Amino acid sequence: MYGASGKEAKEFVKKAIAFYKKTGKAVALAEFTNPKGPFIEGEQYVFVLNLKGTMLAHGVNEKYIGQDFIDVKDSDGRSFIREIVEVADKKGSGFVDYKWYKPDTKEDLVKHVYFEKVDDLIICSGVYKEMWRELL
Amino acid sequence: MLERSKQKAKEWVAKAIEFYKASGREIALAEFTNPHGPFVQDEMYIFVLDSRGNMVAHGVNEKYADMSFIDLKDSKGKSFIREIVEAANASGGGWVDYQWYNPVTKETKPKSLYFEKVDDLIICSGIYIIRLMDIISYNLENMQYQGDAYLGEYQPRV
Repeated sequence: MYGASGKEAKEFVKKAIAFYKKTGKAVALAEFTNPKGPFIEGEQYVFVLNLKGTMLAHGVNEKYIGQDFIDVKDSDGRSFIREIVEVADKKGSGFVDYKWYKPDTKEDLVKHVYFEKVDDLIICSGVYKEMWRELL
Repeated sequence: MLERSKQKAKEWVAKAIEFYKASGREIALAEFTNPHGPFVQDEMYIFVLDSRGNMVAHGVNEKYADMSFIDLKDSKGKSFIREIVEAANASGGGWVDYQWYNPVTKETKPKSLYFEKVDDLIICSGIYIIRLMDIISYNLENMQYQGDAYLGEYQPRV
């Protein structure tokens, strides 16, 4: 059921990794939080964690940068950041589902997130699960 | 056609240099990154490097300021900032072609950039190759020719 959304999330992460590899860490992290840049498009954005669960870049809320997210839970009590960090560390990449607000409508929705470890960064991006997507 | 489009990049750099000379370094750098000012308009903007490849001002991403860009590559692996810096230091200005995202469409497109050195700053502005006639001319210019003699005579009717 997540076929299409999973693919979109993964493509966004791959695009971010390609940019990071050409530009380096400082420029890439600055670009992921630039509203005029290619990594904030509608509801889709990128966020970047380190292996301790610290937020290094976040396309919707820059104030998150530098904060420890390892114990953050979603509205259902799921420690999704810890899951991301553990799976990324062990397997290099994966998917996780959790509830998070959609920046344009502000609704709390299930988000299907793809993440991939590159060097000491975990690059993440997701797609929100919405009624209309289920019909496709 | 491409030459006419590229003229716009040159005009933008000239406009920025004129403003810099009239207002001084600090005000000019502050103005080049002001989204409400004359140096950020749709996909056109200014960025400024120092002679070592550090970003001094950038019209689309202010966070780039003070970062070293000398080793940055475009999506095809071209070290275009190094090219700009070397050409500006050697001859005072020039053109470079590379790939970068268009801030309006967010798509990566070929960009033709004009740059000119003034004091210790390199002022840069470019156009994205998006018009059909420009794409044709641009691709012809950037093709790896094998028969230079033959293709050298080719006159695109655009």
